[in-house]
Amino acid sequence: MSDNGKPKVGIFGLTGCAGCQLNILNIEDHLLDILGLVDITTWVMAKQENSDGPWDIAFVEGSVAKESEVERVKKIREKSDVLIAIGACATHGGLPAIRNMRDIEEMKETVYGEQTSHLDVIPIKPVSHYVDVDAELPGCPMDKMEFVRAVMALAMKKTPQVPNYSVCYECRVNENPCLLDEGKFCMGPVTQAGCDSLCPSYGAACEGCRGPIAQVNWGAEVKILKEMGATADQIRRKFLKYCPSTADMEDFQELTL
Amino acid sequence: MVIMQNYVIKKEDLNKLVERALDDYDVYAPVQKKSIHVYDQISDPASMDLNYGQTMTSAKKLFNPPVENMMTFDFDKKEIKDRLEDTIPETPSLIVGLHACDINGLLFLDRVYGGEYDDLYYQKRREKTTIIGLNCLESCESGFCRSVNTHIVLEGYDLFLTPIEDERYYVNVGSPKGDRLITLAPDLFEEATEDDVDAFRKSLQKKHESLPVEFHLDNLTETLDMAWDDPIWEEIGEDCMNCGSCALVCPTCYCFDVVDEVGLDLKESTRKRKWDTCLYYDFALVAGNHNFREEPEARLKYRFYHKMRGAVHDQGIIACTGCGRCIDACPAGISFLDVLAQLQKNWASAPTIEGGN
Repeated sequence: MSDNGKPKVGIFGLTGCAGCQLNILNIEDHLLDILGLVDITTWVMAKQENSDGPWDIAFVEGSVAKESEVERVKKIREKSDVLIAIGACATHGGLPAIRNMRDIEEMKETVYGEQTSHLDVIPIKPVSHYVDVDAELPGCPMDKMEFVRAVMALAMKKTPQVPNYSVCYECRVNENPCLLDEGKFCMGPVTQAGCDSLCPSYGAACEGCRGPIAQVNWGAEVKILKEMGATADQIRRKFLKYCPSTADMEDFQELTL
Repeated sequence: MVIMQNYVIKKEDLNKLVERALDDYDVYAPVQKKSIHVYDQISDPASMDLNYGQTMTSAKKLFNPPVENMMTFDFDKKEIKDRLEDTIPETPSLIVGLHACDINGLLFLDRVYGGEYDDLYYQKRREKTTIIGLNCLESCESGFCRSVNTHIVLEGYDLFLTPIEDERYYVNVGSPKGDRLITLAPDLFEEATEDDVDAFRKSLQKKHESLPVEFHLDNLTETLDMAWDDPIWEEIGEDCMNCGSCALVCPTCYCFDVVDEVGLDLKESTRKRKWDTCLYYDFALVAGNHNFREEPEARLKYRFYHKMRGAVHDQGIIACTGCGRCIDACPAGISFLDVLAQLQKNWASAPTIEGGN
C-alpha cells in the first residue's frame, strides 16, 4: 500500500503492440476515478519517474518472447501481490505467436539478415506459462471497461470476473443475425464473451481474440466450419490466430481438422 | 362476459391507426434489420413490416429487458432505492403485429412472473402495454405452433387481426384497451358484416389447412419420463456448444442473474438483473464449487426437460410456443422439433401422428 492507503499498481509491457496499455490511456472518462482508487507507481508508457516495486497489483501486457522477458516477468511476479495478464498476447500468446508456427532461424534471417546473434528469441508463450497469474483479461485489445471493472474489483479485494459464456450471448442480446448463417467463419460460439460482440455487430466474423470459454466444445465448432466448406488450414488459423496457446491444449490436439 | 363487437379495417388504414397512436403510445413493431426481423420502437408506421415470419428474439425483451436496474445503494447515506419507477417508461406502449405464438409466450410469462411471486418490473410493463395481434395464415420457416396448440389465442391481446380478402383485416376485440384503440380512430373501423364473418371463416380454414401438425403433444410427458437415458442426449450433446442462443431467443425462458455493479467511486452500487440461461456452466454452480450440471450435455438435456416436462409440473403447460426461434438461432443446427419428434418415435406409448401403436 502507498502512504495514502491506496494499492500500488505497476503496468508493464512485454512483446506485443502496446495497444492494451494504450487502451488504458484511452479511458479518459474514468482515468481520474481510477487514480482515485490506486496509485500507479510504475508505468513507463505514461510516467517519467517509475518505481522498482514492490507493487500490490501488476498488470502485464504482451507475450513472453525472449529469454530476457522470462527473467523480467519472474521479477515482476516476485515483487507483486497480485498479477493480472491483460490482452490476448499475455493471456494466450496473441498475434506475435504466429512466429511459433514457422522456422525460427529462417524468420530471424528474413528480418535481420545475417546479424542475428544478438537475438534471444524463444518460442512465444503466454505469461501464465512462466508465472502464476491471478486473473486474465483477454482480448485484442483488452476491453477497456473490463479493465476498469477489474481495477474496482481488486480495490475491493475481489477477483475480477470475465463472462463465462460465449459471444453468442451478446450477439443474441444485440439482435445480430448469425454470421455462420451468412457463411462467415465465425468463432463466436466458442469464444469468451465480454466484447459486447463488437466485430459481429459490424458484420465481421468473430476472430476468437478473447480465447476459448471454459468447457468449450471445439469439436462442434470444427464440424460447423467444415460443413461450411472451411479447409483444415483455415480452421486451424481461425482457432490459433489470436490464441496460439490453444494449440498446447490436449482437447485441441485431439481434434481431427 | 361481455360480447365484443367485431370489426374490419383496411390494411392501409392500419398504418393510419398507428400514426394516430404515436401521439399517445411508444409504438413497437417488427422491423427489418439486415437479414432478420426484430421488434423495435418505431416513429413512422412505414418502417413496420408485418409481412414477417419470425423476429429473432421474442417480445419478451419488451417486458423483461436483457439488462434491468432493480435498485441502487448509497453507501455513505446508507440508503437503498427501488428503481422500479425509473425503469418503467411513463408512456404506455403499443405493440403491433404479435403472432399468436408470442402472445401465448406472454401468457406463459404472466404465470411465471405472477402467481406465487409478483414480479412488478414485468407486470407494470405488461399493464401499460396494448397489444395488436396478427393471425398467421401460413406456417413460418421453423415454427411448429400447431403441434403445441399455440397457433390460436383466446386471450392476451387487445385487438387481434386476421387477414381476410380485399386487403382487409378482421378485427377481434379482446379487452377495453382494444376498445380504446378503436375509439382513437373510429372512422377507420367498420362493423363486420355477415360477408366479413364468412371471409374470416375462410381465412381460418386456410390457416387450418396450411399449418402442419408435426408431433403429438398428447404423450410428451410420458415420452420424456421414459427418455431420460436415451442416447440422443449424448448425440446432440456432441453438437451443442452451450452458447445459449436457443434460450436467449425463447419467448418463455425467464431466467435471469442478479449482479451488483459498484460505481468507480466505491460509494454507490446498482443491483441489476441480466438474462441468464441454464446452458451456462455458472448457472448451476453453487458454493464450494459444486455444479449440479457439470457436463455440457447435462445442461442441454436439462433445458429440454425443464421446458417440456418441468413446466408442466409447475405451470400445468409446456414452456414452448412452437415459435421455432431456437431452431433458427442454433449455430449447430439442432432442432428442438426434430429432437422431440425423434424421442416420440423411440418411446411412443400413446397415439402418434401416424395413428400407430
